[in-house]
Amino acid sequence: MISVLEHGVGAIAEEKIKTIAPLVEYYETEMGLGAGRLMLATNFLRDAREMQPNLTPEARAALEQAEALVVSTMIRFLGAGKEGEGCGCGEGCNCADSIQQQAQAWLDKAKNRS
Amino acid sequence: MILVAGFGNLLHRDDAFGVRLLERLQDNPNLSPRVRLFDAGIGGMHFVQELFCGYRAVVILDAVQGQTPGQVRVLQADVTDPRTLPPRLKRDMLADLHYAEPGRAMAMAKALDTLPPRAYIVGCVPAAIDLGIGMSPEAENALPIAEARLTELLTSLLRAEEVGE
Repeated sequence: MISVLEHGVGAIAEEKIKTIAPLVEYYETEMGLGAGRLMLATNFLRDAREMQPNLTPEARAALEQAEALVVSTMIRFLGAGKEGEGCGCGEGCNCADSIQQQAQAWLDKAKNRS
Repeated sequence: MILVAGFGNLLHRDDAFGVRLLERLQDNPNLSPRVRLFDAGIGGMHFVQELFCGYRAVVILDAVQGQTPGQVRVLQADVTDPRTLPPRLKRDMLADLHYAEPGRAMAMAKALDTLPPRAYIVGCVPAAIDLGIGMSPEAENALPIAEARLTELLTSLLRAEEVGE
């Protein structure tokens, strides 16, 4: 069986991720594969948004929407983790609570901007 | 190689200090080719990535805390390894999403074992960090002083690198 990660867009994505492999591994270890990768993605999206003060309103809105989608998906992953399906942090894990708080802060900021 | 990274937000007055100091260094024709200048601005993730290249030392340029506005400070960075934090604090750090604060970016690098053995901060105590373009006279006056202190530090770090320390 051919892996979808070895061909086409999957292979391109995997190649690009190689340059940040240590970060990906760290986040995966700390938060689980899905939530960890999504958390890392929010960091990059936030950088992209904040580093460009001259973004057009459309570009800014697109980045904010991408960020919102990632955060919303991450919360679903962590929700699943809380029910024992995926977070993988083990005992003492409070990923879901932390993310919920940060997500709320992010949403509040977005609300103030609009 | 030594990495010199300028942090700060140009839209928050004296918070731009690190980036402005880096600009002065970019204009210095005597700068050693063994020093790499990196404009981190407010993008901490790229700084974390840059450290993957492997440096002997890193110098952060930034606005720093202190009593007297305009005071230049050279500090050895005290970086907490997130792996030593209790779970809750570790998760909060991961969730904070703000590696634009150099301390957090360096902590992440430490967790990844990519933080150079020598890490310093050269900065200025800000007089104003409200929203606005242009630094205060205190911070402007501190630029040449900070540049001189930074040059001294780089000379000493380069010398240490030469003798393999």
